[in-house]
Amino acid sequence: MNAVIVAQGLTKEYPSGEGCDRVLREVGLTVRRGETCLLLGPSGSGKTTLLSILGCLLSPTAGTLAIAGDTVPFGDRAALAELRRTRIGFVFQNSRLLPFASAYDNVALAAANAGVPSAELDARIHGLLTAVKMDRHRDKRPAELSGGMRQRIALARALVHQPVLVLADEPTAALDRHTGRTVVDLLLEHSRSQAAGLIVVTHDEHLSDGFDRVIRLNEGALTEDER
Amino acid sequence: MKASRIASAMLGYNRPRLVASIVGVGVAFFLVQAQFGLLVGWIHTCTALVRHADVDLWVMARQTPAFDYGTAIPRQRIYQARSVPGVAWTEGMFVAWNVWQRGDGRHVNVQLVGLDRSGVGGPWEMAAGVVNAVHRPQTVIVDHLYRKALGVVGIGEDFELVGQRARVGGLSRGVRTLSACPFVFTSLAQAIRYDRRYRDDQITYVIVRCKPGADVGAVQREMSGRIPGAEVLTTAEFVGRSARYWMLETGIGITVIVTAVLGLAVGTVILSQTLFAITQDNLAHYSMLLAVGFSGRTLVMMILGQALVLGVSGMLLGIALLLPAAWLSAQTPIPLETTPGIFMTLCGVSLLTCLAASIFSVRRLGMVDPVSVFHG
Repeated sequence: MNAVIVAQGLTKEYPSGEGCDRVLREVGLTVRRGETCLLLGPSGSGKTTLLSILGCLLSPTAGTLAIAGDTVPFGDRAALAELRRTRIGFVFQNSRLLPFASAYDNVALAAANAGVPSAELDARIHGLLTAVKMDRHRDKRPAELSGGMRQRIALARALVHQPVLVLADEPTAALDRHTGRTVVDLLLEHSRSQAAGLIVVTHDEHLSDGFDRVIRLNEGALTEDER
Repeated sequence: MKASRIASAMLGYNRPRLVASIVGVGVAFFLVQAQFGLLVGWIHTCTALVRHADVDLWVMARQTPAFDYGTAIPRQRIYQARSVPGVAWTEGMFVAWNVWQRGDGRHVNVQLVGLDRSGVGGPWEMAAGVVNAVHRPQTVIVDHLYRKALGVVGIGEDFELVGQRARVGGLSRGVRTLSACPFVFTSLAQAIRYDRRYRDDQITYVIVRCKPGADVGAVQREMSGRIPGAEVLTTAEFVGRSARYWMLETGIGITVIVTAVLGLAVGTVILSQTLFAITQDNLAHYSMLLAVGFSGRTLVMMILGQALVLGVSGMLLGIALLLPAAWLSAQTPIPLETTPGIFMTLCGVSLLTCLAASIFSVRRLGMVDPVSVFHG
């Protein structure tokens, strides 16, 4: 099976008064290994909800999701944590690095948590930090780094355990355009080199260069899927 | 980077708060140990003469509430007790409240203890002189801890005891009193001469040693049967009764225990608030850790680990405060003492309290939604 994501009929509803708000409407999506997707949509279109479901952080009201061929058991919290730990890499809007840990340790925590053997740990982190041009800053804490540097560390953290799927939520929102582009290029390069599926959620239409697909979401439904 | 390292780094990130918390927990732990130390010290103090007498049985008037409150019994009880099979030795002892007059005319209430021929029941350690000095005419021994209270500078000085001359013939060491009335030792005969309320044929206690191998319980029962109107207690029973009286009936012990519990409560609140503040400050990090696959159980263990680190650090500080306090108090009438059992029990209770203090943090952690990582 070459698909890292097979989502069918993903629907999410929240109770509202006597009715309910449907924030995601029967979304179907397949992403192959190494495929890079940009998910665009206005505020409130359901991007974050879809990303949360694909990231096994939120259960859909209806529909199914398979990651790397395995159906996601949304009722099993331990299994969801295991999937997130071993198969998914996350890049968040504000990097969300631990302020009290060095750049190296921020990457190491994800690797150790995913069960990367300690013999491989150092070489793998060194390789990734070098690839994102941050090895020189490995001992610095996040407060000593710029926003772009922090996102590069976050990128290394997302990739260090060699996930099959990388999910990035507005990774350039807090960066200037040039730095944002650099971070996105690194995301594209390294996701492809690891053959991981990549989904980047953004408002920024200008980032679409280099992505294999651009997916648009509007009012909870997929409205466009350009290849 | 393991969860334990993340937890400790989280704890140490705000150094001033960490130090303030450890100091708070340390002082609370010190308070708890010190209160129980006072309790143990007081129990040792109020039972010291009974324990150090090293006898098997005590004969006394019925319903004597504590060693300090003995009342007169006939001297013939000494001989009645000696006639019981299994008894090796008996002597009399006198204990009663009296008035000491200092050189400057001030009166001080004292507990006058009259010792029989062997001096058993008297001081177990002397700072100056010998115990047998009590058998010299109108001679007394006072404790060096209470020299100032009694106006005593040294041996050979004369004072008045119930209006009669009392010459200081020796200074004991470590004979404390819980009642704030220092013990003054003299001979049994001299004590009765001082205390005109007692007749020549009256004493306060008969102290009894059994023959080697004798069944003390059987001797006690036999003696109780043969001496009507008196009560016969083993040393352990008399120690227990005296301690219960002072600690429970006077309320001293209850007060100390309440203060110790308050200390424990203060420590719990400090630790609980610190942990909660740390958890609250790190909610975003916890949600990130949950999102990247850390289990809820691991995060709970991180908080419990932080509670233990804070608790143990505070306890070490508390012990560092306790040791000099105990050493200093050993030179005063109010000693801080403990036993290994009490010390370890309080350490265990304190650690359990630390873990219990983390409950609010753990509950707060349970409300963390990992989806919040996608909300900027």
